[in-house]
Amino acid sequence: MSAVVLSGRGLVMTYTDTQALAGVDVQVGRTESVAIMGPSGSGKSTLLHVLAGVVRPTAGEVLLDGDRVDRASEEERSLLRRTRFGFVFQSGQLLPELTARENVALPLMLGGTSRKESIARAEALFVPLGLDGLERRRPGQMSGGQAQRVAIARALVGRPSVVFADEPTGALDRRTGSEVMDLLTRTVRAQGAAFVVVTHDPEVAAVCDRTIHLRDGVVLSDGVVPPDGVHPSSGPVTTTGAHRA
Amino acid sequence: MRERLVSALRTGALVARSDHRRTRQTFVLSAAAAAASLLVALVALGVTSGSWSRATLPEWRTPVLAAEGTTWTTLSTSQADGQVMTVARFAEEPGSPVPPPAGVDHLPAPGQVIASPALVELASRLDPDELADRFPGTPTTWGVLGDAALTTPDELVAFVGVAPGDPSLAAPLVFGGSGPGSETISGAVSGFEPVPAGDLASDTSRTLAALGCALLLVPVLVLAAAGGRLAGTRRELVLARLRLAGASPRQVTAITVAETAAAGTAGALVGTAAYLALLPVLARLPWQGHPWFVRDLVPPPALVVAAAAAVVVVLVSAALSTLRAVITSPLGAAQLQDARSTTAGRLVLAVVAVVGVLVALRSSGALAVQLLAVVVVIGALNLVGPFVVDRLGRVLASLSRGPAGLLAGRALSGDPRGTWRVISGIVLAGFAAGFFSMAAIGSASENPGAVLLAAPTSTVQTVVGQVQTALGETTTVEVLTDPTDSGVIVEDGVSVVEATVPDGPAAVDRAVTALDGLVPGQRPIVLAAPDAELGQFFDSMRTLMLGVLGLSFALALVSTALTSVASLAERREEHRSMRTMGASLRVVERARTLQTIVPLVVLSVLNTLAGAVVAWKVNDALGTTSQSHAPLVLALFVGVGTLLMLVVIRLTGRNLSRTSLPGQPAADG
Repeated sequence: MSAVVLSGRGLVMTYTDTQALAGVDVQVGRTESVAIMGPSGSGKSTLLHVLAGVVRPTAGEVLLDGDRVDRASEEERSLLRRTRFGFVFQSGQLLPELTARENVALPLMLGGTSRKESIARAEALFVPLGLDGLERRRPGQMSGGQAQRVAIARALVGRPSVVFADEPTGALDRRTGSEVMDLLTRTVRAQGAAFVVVTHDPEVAAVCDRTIHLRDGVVLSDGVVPPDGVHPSSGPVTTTGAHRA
Repeated sequence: MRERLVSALRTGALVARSDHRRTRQTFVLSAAAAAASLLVALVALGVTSGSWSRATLPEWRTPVLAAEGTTWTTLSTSQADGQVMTVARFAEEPGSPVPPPAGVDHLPAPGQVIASPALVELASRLDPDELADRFPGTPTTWGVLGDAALTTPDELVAFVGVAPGDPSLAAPLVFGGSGPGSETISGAVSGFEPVPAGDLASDTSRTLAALGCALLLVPVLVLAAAGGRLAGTRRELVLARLRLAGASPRQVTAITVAETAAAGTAGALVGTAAYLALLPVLARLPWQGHPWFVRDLVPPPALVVAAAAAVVVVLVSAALSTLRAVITSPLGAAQLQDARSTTAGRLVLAVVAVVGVLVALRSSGALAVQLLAVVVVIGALNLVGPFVVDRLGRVLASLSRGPAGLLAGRALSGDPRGTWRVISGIVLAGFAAGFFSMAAIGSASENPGAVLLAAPTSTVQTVVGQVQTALGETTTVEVLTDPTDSGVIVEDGVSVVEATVPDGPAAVDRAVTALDGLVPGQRPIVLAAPDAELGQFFDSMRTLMLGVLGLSFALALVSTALTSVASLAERREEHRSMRTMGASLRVVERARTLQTIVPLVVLSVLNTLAGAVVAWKVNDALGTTSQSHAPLVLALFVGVGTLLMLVVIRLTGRNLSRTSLPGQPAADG
C-alpha cells in the first residue's frame, strides 16, 4: 500500500438505539482504491460518512495526512470536504436546476473560486469524461450514465485527495455501470487520488485494489481482491483493521 | 373495477400509515390551509351577502303612498350626537286596515314613541335638551323597535305616534339640501313594502364588497393550492412505490383524491365552524361606518356549500398536479425533464388585457367596468408574474458571482410558476395596496354648525325672535336672502331662517331640539357634510383596504410558510448533497432566501405601482384626486411585506440545519 493518506482508528458510531460502527480500524493509501462491502445495515455507508468528515464518530479518530478530522469543527470539515474530498452518490444528486457545467463548477464556487474560472475548469473535464456537448444540459435532460459522469466530473474538479463514492452504479444498468466504474477508477487514479467506494456489487469491488467486508459494524475481512474477484465469506485475507473476536 | 379501487385505497392507507407522523402532519397542515382559505372566503362572501341585505330597506322606510287613506306617515331625518337619526311619524284612524311594517306589531298611538335600541341608549345618555326632549315621554317609557325595522344595530330610528291631522304630518315647506333633515316623505299610505335602496351608498357598498371578493380570490386559491401540494414529494414516493407494485394510474389518482379530499373536507368543516364562531366578532367591525347584524353576515347555505366545495376541488387539483410524474412513469421524475420556462406570449396577452382595460375605462366610468378592470388587471398580473420570475432568474444567474445567486437564479428560471405561487399572495396584496392607497381620497369636510328652519315669510321675523330666544345670544340668527346658496329650495311665501350655533354636536343637538316643532310641521335641517354619501363611500374604501390588505397579508404569509415547509422537505436530498460536498449552511440559506426575496421585492414594487396606476385611472374616471401620502403607504407596504416574508423564511428554515444534515443513518447502514 502507498503512503497512508486517510485512516480511521477505533471508530465507533452510535445512533439513538443503533450501533452502526463498533470499533473499526481502516487505512487508505494515497493512490489506493478501497471497496467497502457488506449486507444492509452493516455500517458501510456510516463508515464512509465518518471517514469523509460528514459526521463525527462517537469514539475513535480519523486522520487525513496526519491531521485529526474528527476534532475539526463543522466549518472546518465543510472546508475539508470542499477542498480535499470529492463525492459521487448513487443517483448523482446533481442539482436539477443547474446545467451540467454549473453542477461541476459548484464545488469550486463554494470554495470561493470565481465563476468564470470555475466554469472553465469544469468544462476542461467534459471531453476526457466523454461529456462533450452536454455542458449546457440539465440533469433531467441526460441519461443516467451521462448524469453519473457529470457527478464524477464534479467529484474530481477540485483535484481532491480522496474521492468517496456510495453505490455509484446502483441506479445504472450493468453495461453502463461497468463503463462508469471503469471511468471513475481510471480518472481518480490519473489524478493521483485515493478512492473509497461503498458497494453491494462484487464487480465494482473487483476493480479496486482492496476490499473491506463489514458486518454489524465490525470489519470481517480487509484484503487484496483475489484474481477471480470472489471474496471469502469470512476470515481475514490481509489484515489492517480490527476484526470481530 | 370498484373492488380494485377500494383495494387500492386500502393499500394506499396502509402505505401512508407506515409514515404515521408525517402523514398526520401533512393531513393537519392541508386541512388547516383549507380551513383558513374557506374562512377568508366566507368572510368575503358574508360581507358581500350582507351588503346586499343592507341594500334592501326596511318596510317602514318605503311606504306605499296613496291619494287617500286611513293611515298617514311622515319620514324625516335629523341629527343626534353627530349621527343621522330618522323619525317616522304615524297617525291612523281607529280600525285602519293597513298592517304595521316589519319590526313592530302595531303603530304607535298618539303620544307614544317606539325607538331603536341605539336611540334609547343615546337618549338616556345625553342631556334631555340634546335629544330626548324632541319626543314625548322619556326614554324609559319608550317602546323598542325589533331588528326587522333596522338596517344596522346602531341605527337611530324613532316611530312617533300623532293624531290624524297633526301639523307635523304636513308636507315640509323646504326641499333639498343633503344633510340630516333634508330627506322627507309625507302622505297617506296604503301599506309598506321592502324595496332595494338603489342609491349611491348601497350600490357602492355592494360593488366594493364584490371588489374585495375579487381581490381576495387569488390569495385564497393560492393558500388552498399550497395545502394541496404540501405532501408532493412524499406522496410521489409513496405512490411511485404503489405504481411499481402494480397500481394503475386511475388507482393512484383515486388514492390521492381520497386523501386530499378528506383533508379538504375536514378543513372546510373547521373553516365553516370557525366562521360561525367568529360571527359575533365580525359583526362588530364597521362597514360604511356601521356594525352588522349577525343575520346579515350569514351567506346563503348554498353559497357556503359551493365555497367549501370549491376549496376542496382546488386542494385536490393541486395535489393531483404533483402526480403527473408518477402517473406517467412508475419511476417518477424527481429531476426536471426540462426547464419549465415561460414564453413571451404571456407578456403579450397581459399587455393586450391591460390595454383593453384602459380603453374600457376611458369609455365608461361605471363601477361595474372598474370592477371588471381590476379583475382583468389581476389576471394579467398572474399571467405576467411567472414570466417576470423566469427572466429575473436568468438575470440573477448570469450576474451572480457566488453559488447562492447562481442557485437561486437557476431555481427561479427552473420553476417560475412554482416561485410565483409562493409570492403571488403578497405581490397581489401589493396591487391592492397600490390601488386603495391611491383611490382612498380624503373624506369631505364637515360643517355641523348651521341649522335651517323654514317658516312662512309673513311670520319669519317672529320666528327669528323665537329662535334667538331659544338658542341664546351666542347664536347668530338670520334670514337667508337666497336659500339656494345653502342647497335648499322653498316655495313662494316661504323663508329660511339660519341659526349658526357654536361648534360641537351637543350644541347642534340642543339647537335641533329647541327648534323642533317651533314652526308647526317644519323640522330643522342640519347643514352637514355636503357629500355625506361620498364620505361613506370613502369610509367603505378604507374598511375594504384594511380588510383586503390584512387578509391578503395573512393568507400570503401562511401560504409562504406552508410552501416553504413543503419545499424544505422536497429539496432535502439536494440540500444534503450540497452540504456533503462542503457547502456551508449559510450558502444554502442564502440561496433559499434570495430565491424568494428577489422576485418578491421586484414584483411587489412593479405590482404596487400597477395598482397605483389603475387607481389613478379610476380616480380620473371619477373626477377625484389621490391621497397625498400614498407613496409613503406604498413604500411602507413593500418594506413591511419583505420584512415579514424574511421572518417567515427564517422561521421555516430553522429545521434546515437538521434536515440538510448529511450522514443520517442510511437504509443500508
